[in-house]
Amino acid sequence: MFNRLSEARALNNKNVKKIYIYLALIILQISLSASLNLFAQDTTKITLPEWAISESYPRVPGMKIQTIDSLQQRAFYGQPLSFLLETATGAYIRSVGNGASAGLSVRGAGAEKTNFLWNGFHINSGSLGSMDLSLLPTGFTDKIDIAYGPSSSVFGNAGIGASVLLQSMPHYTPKLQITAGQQFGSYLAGNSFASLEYAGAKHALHTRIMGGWSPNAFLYEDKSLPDFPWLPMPQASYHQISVANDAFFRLTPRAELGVLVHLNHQRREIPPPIGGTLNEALQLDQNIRVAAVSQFTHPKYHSLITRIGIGYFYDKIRYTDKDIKDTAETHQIQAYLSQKWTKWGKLHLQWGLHYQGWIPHIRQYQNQSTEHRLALSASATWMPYSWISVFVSLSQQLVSGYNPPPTASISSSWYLIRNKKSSLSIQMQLSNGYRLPTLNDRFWTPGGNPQLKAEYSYNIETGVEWKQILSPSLTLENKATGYCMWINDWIAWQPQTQGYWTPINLKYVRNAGLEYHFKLQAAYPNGLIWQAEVGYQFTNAINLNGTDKHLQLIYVPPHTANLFVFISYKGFSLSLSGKFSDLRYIRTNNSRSLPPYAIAHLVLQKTFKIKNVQLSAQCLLFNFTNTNYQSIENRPMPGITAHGGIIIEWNKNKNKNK
Amino acid sequence: MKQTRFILLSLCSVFVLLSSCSKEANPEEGIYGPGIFIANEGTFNQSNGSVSFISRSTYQSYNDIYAKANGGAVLGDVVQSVYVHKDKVYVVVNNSQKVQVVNCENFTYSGVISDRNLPRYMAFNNQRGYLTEWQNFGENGRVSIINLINNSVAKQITVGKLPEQLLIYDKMLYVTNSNDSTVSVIDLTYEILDHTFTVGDWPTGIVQDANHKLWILCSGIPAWAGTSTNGSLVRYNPDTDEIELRLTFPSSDFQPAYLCINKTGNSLFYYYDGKVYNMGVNETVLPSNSIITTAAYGMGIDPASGYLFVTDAGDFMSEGTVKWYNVNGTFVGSATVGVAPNGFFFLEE
Repeated sequence: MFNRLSEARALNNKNVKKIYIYLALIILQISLSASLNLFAQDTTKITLPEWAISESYPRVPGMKIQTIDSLQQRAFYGQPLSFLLETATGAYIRSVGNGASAGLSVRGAGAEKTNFLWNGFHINSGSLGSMDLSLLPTGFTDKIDIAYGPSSSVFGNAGIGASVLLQSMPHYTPKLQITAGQQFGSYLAGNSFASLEYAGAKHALHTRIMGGWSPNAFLYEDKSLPDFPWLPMPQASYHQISVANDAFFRLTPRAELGVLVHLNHQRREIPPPIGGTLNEALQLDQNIRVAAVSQFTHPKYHSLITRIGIGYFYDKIRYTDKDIKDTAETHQIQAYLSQKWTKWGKLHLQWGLHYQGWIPHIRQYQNQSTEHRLALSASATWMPYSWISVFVSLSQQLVSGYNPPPTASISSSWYLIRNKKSSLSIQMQLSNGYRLPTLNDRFWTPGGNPQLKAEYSYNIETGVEWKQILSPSLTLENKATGYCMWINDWIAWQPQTQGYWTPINLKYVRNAGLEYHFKLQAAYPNGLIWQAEVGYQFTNAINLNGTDKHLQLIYVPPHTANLFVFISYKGFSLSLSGKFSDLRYIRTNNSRSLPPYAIAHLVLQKTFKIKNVQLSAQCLLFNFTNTNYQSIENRPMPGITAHGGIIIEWNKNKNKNK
Repeated sequence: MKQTRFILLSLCSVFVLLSSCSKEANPEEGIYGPGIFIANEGTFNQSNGSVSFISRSTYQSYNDIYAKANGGAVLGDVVQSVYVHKDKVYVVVNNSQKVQVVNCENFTYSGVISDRNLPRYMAFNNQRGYLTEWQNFGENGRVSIINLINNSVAKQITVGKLPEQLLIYDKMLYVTNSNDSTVSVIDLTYEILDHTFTVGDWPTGIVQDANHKLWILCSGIPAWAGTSTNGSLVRYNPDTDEIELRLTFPSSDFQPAYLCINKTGNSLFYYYDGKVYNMGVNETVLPSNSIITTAAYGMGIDPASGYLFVTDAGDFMSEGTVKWYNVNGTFVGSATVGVAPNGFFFLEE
C-alpha cells in the first residue's frame, strides 16, 4: 500500500529496517504469512502512525490496542462477532441467549460504553446506545482492533470502556478469488457464506454474503418446573443475512476512493427467561450502511494527506409480541474530514471534524427532533528519537444546546531494549472519555430526561511489553497492563413516584484492573505452525457513591481468562479457543451471583488443494465441554453443539498480469 | 366401603389441619405459618421473583423461601402478589402467566394454575378463588374463577380494562378496572357480572371500612398511559350503589397508591408524593399532613401487630427493604427482603 510504504521509507532508522527485514524473512518461511504476521499486532512499536484509507484515526503510541488474531477470526468466520470476541478478548459478553442480542462490556463498563467504529463511522445504535454483536457476522470485516480505555479525543463518543475498530483492508495485489462455504449443525442450524475478491493494481473489490439460521431449540434445564426437566428452548429461532461490499480504487498515484456497503437483515424470536411466558416476541433488525471514503496526497506537499468520508446509516428495530407492535427507525448522515501533516519524519499533526445528523422516527419520542453533533479533534505524534514517541490529542464535541466537556489524551511509548532478537517497551497513557446520553435517554416518553449530562471518565494506565525471538521459528510476546478509570455521571434508569422510570446521572464508578497477555508462536520449515495465547484480566469495578459503595458492579466478573491454541500441519489445522469467567454479581448489593464457568470451542479443518481450487472440510464443536452456564440470570446458553462444513476456494493466479 | 372412605377422609382432614398454616412458624427449619409473606417482583424479564417471610416472633426475614424449599427452583417472572388460603399459598406470577400453588407449611410445590393472561390479584371465598387478569392491553380484562380443589378454572367473566385489586363484600365481588375508570360488580352466587359503575380515573385499590362502605383509590391516569390526571379517593356505599364522597388529589404529577385500612376499619392509609398519609374514615377532606416520608413500592397493615408495613424497592436491581411503623408514623424496624418487594399477605394466628 502506497501510504504504508512511503511512510516506512520516511522512517530513517536502520535498526528498525533490520528488524523488518529479519521479520520478513521469518514470515516468508510461513506458508500462512498473511495470517501470521508476526508483529502486525504491535501497535506500540515506533512507526509512523499508519493511515490506510480505511483508517480514519491515528495509531496511538502508548495506547493498548489489540488486533484480533486473523486465525481466530477465520475460525469463526460465519458466526456472530460475539463468538469471536468472547474468547479472543477478556471482555464480557452479556448475551440474552444463543442468537439473541449480545453486548460487549470492556473493563467493567457497560455495552453502551463500548464504541464501535466501522471504517471511521460510528455504528452504535442511536436509540439504545450499544452495538448488538449478534447483528455483525465475524466475516463482514477484514480487521478488528480493540482500543482499550477511554479515548474519546481520538475515537469520539462512547469510547469509555473501549473502542472497537472494524476496518476494511484493501490489497492492491492482482487477485481473483471466489470462496463459498456451507455449515450445518446441531438443532438444524446452518450457515452459508460466499465471497468474491477481485483486485488489481488500481482496484480491490471484496463482496461477501453471509447467512445463518437456526430453530435454535437447544436443550436447557427448566428449573421452573418440578423435577427440572431438560426441554427444547422455545421461541428462539433466528435467521440472518448480511451483505458486505468493499470497493477500493486508486484513482491516481496520490488518490484513493473506497465505496463501502453493509446490509443486514435479521429476524429472531426472543425467548423468555426460565419460568417466563411465551408471548410471541419477535424482533426484526435491518441495517443499511453505505459510505464513501477518499484519501489523497497533496500534489506539492507530499506529507500532507487529506481524507474525507460520508455515509448514510439506517437502523430499524421492529418489535412485536402479543400486546406490542412497535418500530424504531433512525436515519443518520455522517461525514468527516481530516488532514495529516508529517514534518521531518518525526512530527505528525492531524486534525479533523466529524459530523453526525440524526433523524429518528420513534413513536415514543414525544419531542422528537433531528439532532446534530459535530466533533472537532486535533492530535500530534512526536518521535524525537527511535526509542520514544509521544502522542497528544484534544477533542470537543458540539451538540445543539448540549455540549459535553472537552476530552484529551496524552500517551507515550518508550523502548528500553530494542535489538534484533528482543524488545522491551513501556507505555503510559492519560486520557478521558465521554458518552452522550442516547436518544432514548433524552426523548423517550415518558421518562426521557433532556437535562442529562454526558458520562465522563478519566483513565490512567501503564503497560509493559516484552517480545523475544527465541529462535528463527519461535517468537514470544508478553504484555501486561494496569489501569485505573473513574466514570462520573453514570446514567441509570430509576423508578419515579409518577409511576415510570427516568434516566438520571446517578453513579460515580471506579474501575481498576490488570491485564496480561502471553503469546507464543512458531513456524517451522517443515510446514508445522502453532500458536498459543493466554490472556488474564482482573477487573475491580466498584461504585464510589450510593448504597452500593465499594461493591463490585453487576455482571462484571472480577477474573476472566481466555485461551487460543492453533496448530496447522500438512493441511490439517486445529483451533481451540476458550474462556473462563469468574462469578458475576447479579444484585447491586452483591448478595447474589452467577457461578463461574469455562467454555471452549474447537475447530478442526482439513484442506485439500487441487490445482487452483482449495477444498476445506470443517468440524466445529462449540462449548464442547458442555458447560451449563448463563451470562444473564435465567437466560440459558446452549450446551455442546456440533457443526460440519465445507469451504471451497477458487483462486485464479493473476501474477502474469503484473 | 363407605366406612373406609369416611375414615380415609377423616384422616386426610386431620392431616390437612395438622399441616395447615395455623401452626406456629419455624422458618429456621423451613416451617412457615402465621407471619408476614412478602411478594418480591424481581427484575422484569429475569425470572427472579421471590417470596420472603417475616416471623412475628423475631421480626427476622427469610428470603427466597420457594427456591430454598424446592431445590433452587425458579418461581417465575414478576411475582405480583401472594395469598394464603387454608393450607395453601397462592403466588401470582404476572409475567409467567401463572399462579403457583404451594404447601403453606413447608413451601413445597403443590400445583400450578397455568395459562393465565397477565394475572394480578386474588380474592378467596371457601373453595373458590377469584383472579384478575389484564389480558391484552387495550382489551377488556377478566376475572377467572378458580376451583381451588383441583386448581382448575371454573369460569371466566369479562370485566373492564386492566383489572386490579378486588374485594368481596356481601356475596358480591368488586373489581377495580384501572384503565376503564370503573368497578365491575360480580354476583358470586350466580357467578355473573351484575353491574358496573364509574368511579374516577385509574382505580387500583379498594378496601372496606367499619361503616360497611367501600373506599376506592383512583390513582389518576399515569403519564405513561396518556395525559396524566389527578387522582381521587372515592367512598362508595354498596347498599345504595352510590358514590357518597369524592376527594381529589391536588396534583396530576403524582399518583396516589397503596390504599390500605387498619384492622378495626376506621383508619385509611395511602401513599402520595413520597409520603404516607393517614385519614379517618369519617373525614371528608384529604389530610394535609403526612405521617411518614419514605420511598415506597407497596404498603399494608398487619392486623395482628397493627404495624404499617412499607416496602422500598431501592434500585430494583438488588434486595429491597421492608420497614414497619406504628400507625402514628414512628419507625419500628426494617428487614431486607427480595428484589422489588411490592406487597404483603398477613397471616394471623
